[in-house]
Amino acid sequence: MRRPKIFYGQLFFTLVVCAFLIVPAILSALAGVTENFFVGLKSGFTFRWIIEVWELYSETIYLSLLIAVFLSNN
Amino acid sequence: MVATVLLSIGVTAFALVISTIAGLFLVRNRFRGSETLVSLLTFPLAFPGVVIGFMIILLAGRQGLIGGISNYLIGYKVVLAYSMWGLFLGYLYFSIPRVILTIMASAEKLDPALEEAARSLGASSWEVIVDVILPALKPGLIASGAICFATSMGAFGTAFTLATNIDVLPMTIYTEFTLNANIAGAASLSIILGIITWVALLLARSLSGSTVAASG
Repeated sequence: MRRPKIFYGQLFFTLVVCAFLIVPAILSALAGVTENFFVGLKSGFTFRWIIEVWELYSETIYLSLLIAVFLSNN
Repeated sequence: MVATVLLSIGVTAFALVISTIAGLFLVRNRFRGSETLVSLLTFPLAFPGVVIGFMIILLAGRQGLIGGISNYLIGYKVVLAYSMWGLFLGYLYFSIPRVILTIMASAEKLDPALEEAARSLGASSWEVIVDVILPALKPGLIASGAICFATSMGAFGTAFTLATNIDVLPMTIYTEFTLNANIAGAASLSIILGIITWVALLLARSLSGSTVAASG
């Protein structure tokens, strides 16, 4: 089915909005697995930071989860 | 304080315009991938303000993507993150998914027969939008605009990560209270913030006739 020109204009606009919301999320996900953020992606990928965060803050995460579960049960 | 109000009004206006265009488009047109688009547009609902603040720094900070691109194109780094623009982007990021959801919900309730009637009576597309669609969306627009304004007024997480050099009301309250121990000042600022937000929500409720709730 042929679509009017305005359809593609609106589609492009919606895609731009979508990019505005998604690109920063991807950036932050990438930053989390980059060996050295200040050097950039070419420094390689690692799960070191995720493991480190888990070791440091797993209790904090549990506590937040506990509060959320408690609140949603009441 | 005036800056906070102006910023919130600006964010609200932009969020409403952007979300109305995108939301109407997604409700009107079903195509391959439109469901995915809706879910992508609404998944940032899960992010709290602080996370959004960091994302804006990653996007437009000193090491950010925008800076990198502008460095490549025009030879110097554009850093938006720590100015009013960064806050504006952060609040917009926070608001767009919420406003889109509300607008899509009220756009789905639109009666297509009204639009067809207007068209068969000879109205142009523009006239249909201005005289049929926008008035029908008005309650939803007002309600989501009010929520957007209220959250922007009170947003702390985003401001806390981004507003290092600028004064927005929640940040001022925080500094007065924790750093200057000015309890009375912080308390009266909180009351002012509360009153402005409350009046906005009250106006919205009386104009749209439905219940709106704010979160921050």
